[in-house]
Amino acid sequence: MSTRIEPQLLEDLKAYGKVDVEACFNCGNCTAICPLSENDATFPRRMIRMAQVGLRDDLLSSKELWLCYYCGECTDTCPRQAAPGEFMAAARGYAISHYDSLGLGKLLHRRPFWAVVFMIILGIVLAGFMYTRHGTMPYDTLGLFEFIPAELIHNIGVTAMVFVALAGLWGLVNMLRHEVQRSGLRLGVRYNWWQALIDTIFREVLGQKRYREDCDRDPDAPPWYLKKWFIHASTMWGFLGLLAATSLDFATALLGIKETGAWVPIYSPIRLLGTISGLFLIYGTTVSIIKRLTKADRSTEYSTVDDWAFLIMMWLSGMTGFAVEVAIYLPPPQMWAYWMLLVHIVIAMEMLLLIPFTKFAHIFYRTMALYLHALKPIPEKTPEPVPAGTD
Amino acid sequence: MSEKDIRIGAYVCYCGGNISDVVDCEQVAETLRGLPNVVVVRTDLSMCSDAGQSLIEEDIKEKGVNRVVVGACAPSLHEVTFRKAVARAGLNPYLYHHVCLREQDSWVHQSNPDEATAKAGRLMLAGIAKARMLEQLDTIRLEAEQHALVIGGGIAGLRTAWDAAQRGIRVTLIEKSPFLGGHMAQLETIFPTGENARQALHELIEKVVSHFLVTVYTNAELTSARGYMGDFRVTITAQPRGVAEDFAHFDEAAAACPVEVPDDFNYGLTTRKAIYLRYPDAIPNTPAIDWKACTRCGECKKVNGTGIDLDGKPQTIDLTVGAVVVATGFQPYQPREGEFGYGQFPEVVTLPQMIRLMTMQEGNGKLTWNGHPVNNIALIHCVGSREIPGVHEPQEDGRVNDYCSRICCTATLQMTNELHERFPYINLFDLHEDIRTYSRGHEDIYTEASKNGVRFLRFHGDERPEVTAAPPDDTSPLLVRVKDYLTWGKELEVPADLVVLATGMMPNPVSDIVKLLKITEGNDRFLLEVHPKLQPVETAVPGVILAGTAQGPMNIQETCSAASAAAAKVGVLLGQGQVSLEPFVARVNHDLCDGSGQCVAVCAYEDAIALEPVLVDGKTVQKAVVSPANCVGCGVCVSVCPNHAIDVQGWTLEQYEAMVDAITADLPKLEVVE
Repeated sequence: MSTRIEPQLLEDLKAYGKVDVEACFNCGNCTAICPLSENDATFPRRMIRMAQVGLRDDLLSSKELWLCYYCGECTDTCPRQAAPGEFMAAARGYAISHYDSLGLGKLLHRRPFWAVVFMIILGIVLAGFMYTRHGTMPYDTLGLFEFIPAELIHNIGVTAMVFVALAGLWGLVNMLRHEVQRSGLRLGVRYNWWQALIDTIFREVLGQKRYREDCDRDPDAPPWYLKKWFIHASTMWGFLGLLAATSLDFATALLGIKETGAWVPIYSPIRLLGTISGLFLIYGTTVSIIKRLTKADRSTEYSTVDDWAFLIMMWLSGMTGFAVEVAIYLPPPQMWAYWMLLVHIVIAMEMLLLIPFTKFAHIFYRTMALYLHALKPIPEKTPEPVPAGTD
Repeated sequence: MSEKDIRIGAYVCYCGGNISDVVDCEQVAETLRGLPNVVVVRTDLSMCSDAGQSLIEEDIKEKGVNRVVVGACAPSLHEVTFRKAVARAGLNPYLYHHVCLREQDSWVHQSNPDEATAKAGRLMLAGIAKARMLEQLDTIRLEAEQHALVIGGGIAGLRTAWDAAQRGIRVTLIEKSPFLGGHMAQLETIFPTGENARQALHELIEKVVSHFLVTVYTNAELTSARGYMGDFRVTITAQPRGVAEDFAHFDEAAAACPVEVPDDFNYGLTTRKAIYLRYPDAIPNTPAIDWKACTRCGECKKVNGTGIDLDGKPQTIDLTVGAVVVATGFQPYQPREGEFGYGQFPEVVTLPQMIRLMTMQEGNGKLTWNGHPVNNIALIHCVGSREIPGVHEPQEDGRVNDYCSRICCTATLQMTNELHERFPYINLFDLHEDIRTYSRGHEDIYTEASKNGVRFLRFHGDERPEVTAAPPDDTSPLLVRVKDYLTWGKELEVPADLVVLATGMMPNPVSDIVKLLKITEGNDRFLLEVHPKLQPVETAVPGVILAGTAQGPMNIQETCSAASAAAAKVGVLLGQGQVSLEPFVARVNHDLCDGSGQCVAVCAYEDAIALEPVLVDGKTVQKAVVSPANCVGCGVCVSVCPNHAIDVQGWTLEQYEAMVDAITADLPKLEVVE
């Protein structure tokens, strides 16, 4: 069965970033240098070849796309300046856009100008919607949720989360459709389902094992707090911590333990979690933004609107959230805090809504790819060989 | 000269340590001292140095040395050096014998210095034994005609003719077809300079044909040849052109001609008449009659009664030339019917055809072929090259072209670049086994193709792509299936509106010339040189020289290098007006020869030895007579002569026997080392 060559794929990919892989002559230096290349995961050469001959389905179902942390070593060693690292980043954008069936991903990736316009309009709509439902701005105390009702935030938040979960699930199904066929997962074979899940979540996602051990070989050897894996982990921990703190706060409100917006001391556990996570997020995103602004290394040299939108939204939501928190512990009146809260909620909501369509979607796809990569069949127990006779 | 007058000088060279680090040169010298006839024995750090050579010269002049033996490096390196030193001192240069102590001894016996020293002694003793029997010899000098025949009017022949004429050698250039320029005239843009092929070619042709030392015959072939270097007697047969130079009604005559044949200038893509000009500004710019196609119906003559002669007779020209340059060129490989769909689908063309097709396609708009728009082109490398015996179908002569044709990779990529420039919307697929853009500047052509987005697919030599008809509802008429090893051996399907076969080079069929000149062709049918590295343009027949693609696949640049080398070689051979040959040829002792003729029967060289009537005691008898110009001194005749009547000068049987005796004799002085 032969596969038809499809030259258009490479042209399509070019809309998603810096794609120079025509220059590639398949020498495999990128695979040789890639710290993640293993026997069954030879990339990025394989992905580049898929792009060159137009194996669209194979490219879209490559878990290797998502295993890459874009250290940039392949680009540095490429003898043809074909920029494999940048290609992988563009291909991830392409994949995100194609796992999504709404077409929003395509718009956000392929039309930088309209992407920005869209994001601004979405922000204005969200802000306008909330502003029309605003209440009073108490002067003597900081009654944030009298200005924007907690219930409104909760309802929008829950709706957005459900939407994001459904869109993410849809994307994962699209990703898996091809990958399951290709990876040769079979029914009737026992896999290390649970062990792989635990490994993926704790060692890889939270522990950043591969990033830390394999993908961060910066020859300048910066201090730990400037290492690429730590900056990435700091951002991710911050994001997940804030997500957890917000959810817990919502849960305590639902359970009637504490009303949303009720004053708590800074050391109360959920507030403390939120505060620390916020600091991590701000640290991670700030350093990332500085690195992209100064083009500090290979992986920050080339930035797309997607890269920027993702970072700036996280940074802004972190900064505005932190400002609101500061206002809470300052003596009233802090009238600016009401507006700050509005901005914070708008940006956080917008970021949440755009997760499945932007670079942010890698939280779904990379996790799934890492899980698939960790899945191994459990070998059938074979009877112990009878020891050879001693006579 | 009686035995006691022989005064031998023996010299053992240290070769700067190359010999003396292993062989005890002083002990070897000691062994030689006092031997009969040996009057001087010396060692030296470097005999080939000026000082070393002066030693020999002084000994000849002052000590009356009249035979010289030097034990040193290989004779191929310095035998001539020492012969010249001997001659400078006034002695016959062939009274010299060279013993190889380096390659044959010190270098190969480094772990065994004692035995090596003993061997060196024996080799020297053998040399001295031979030296006692050396006799004066004279180089064979032949008058050389300062005139070269160049066969082939393509770029190789033209370039050779120009260079040789510039050196002052008269040149007769013959071209089989009615027009000069060969295959280069059929090219357009040539890599890596991007010049126009015909423009560059015409500049050279104009220079050559107007040179006062060059005579050109078109429609001409070599029909007989004999003789030897410096004195070849050749006959050229020139067919009439059929059209007078001042004939001015070509267009009408061509319109009137009822015969239409495939135009080989366009590789059969178009047709032409039996009266034709190869291309509008072809040189000579006089039309010619294609005698193979012409039916002599006379229609062309009716447009204008004069200027066309259909009854002309061939003209023969006899010449004496000193050297012959074979520049007979190549023909592109002609794919078999059905090979990659060639001849089966009109959308399959060869690269030479594609080059013509590109010229016929006007403008830079849309490329069409057979009335269909062309959006996808697949170019397949190595067609008729690098074939594997047992895998690929052999040709009529049972052989496959297992060689690389060298030019096709760059030519194919150059084609993709031209296509991309003129028709940027076309998808280009390059199917190759390997890509060898080996020459200076050629890699840039690959890089450009790569940047242009040419998709490269790589197959294994034994799994060549398959060209098939596409289903009727497909966008392209053909599908090329290829197992692409860059895509981990996956079978890919390439849609193609045009398939271009990068056909290789085959030599023009020149068996008649090969036979006439007694040169040889290799297993690949290309003409064979004596030594691929050190004598790259000479054939085994002295005075017959190769130029260009008759010898192997070359691009224009390499062809010109080869042609200039051939011309330089002609200059070397004929520049002095005479040719000197080494005297090591067979010599017949007529007192012993009984005319059995066995020597004549075994001799592999034409006219080297023959039975001729010789007057002996008033009677005429048949005796073997050697023609020194044709003899190469191989010694086969010596081995078959029942009467030991033949010897090779300088290497007689007597000399060999003396050497063998010396090598095997008891040598008390040397046994000491054991």
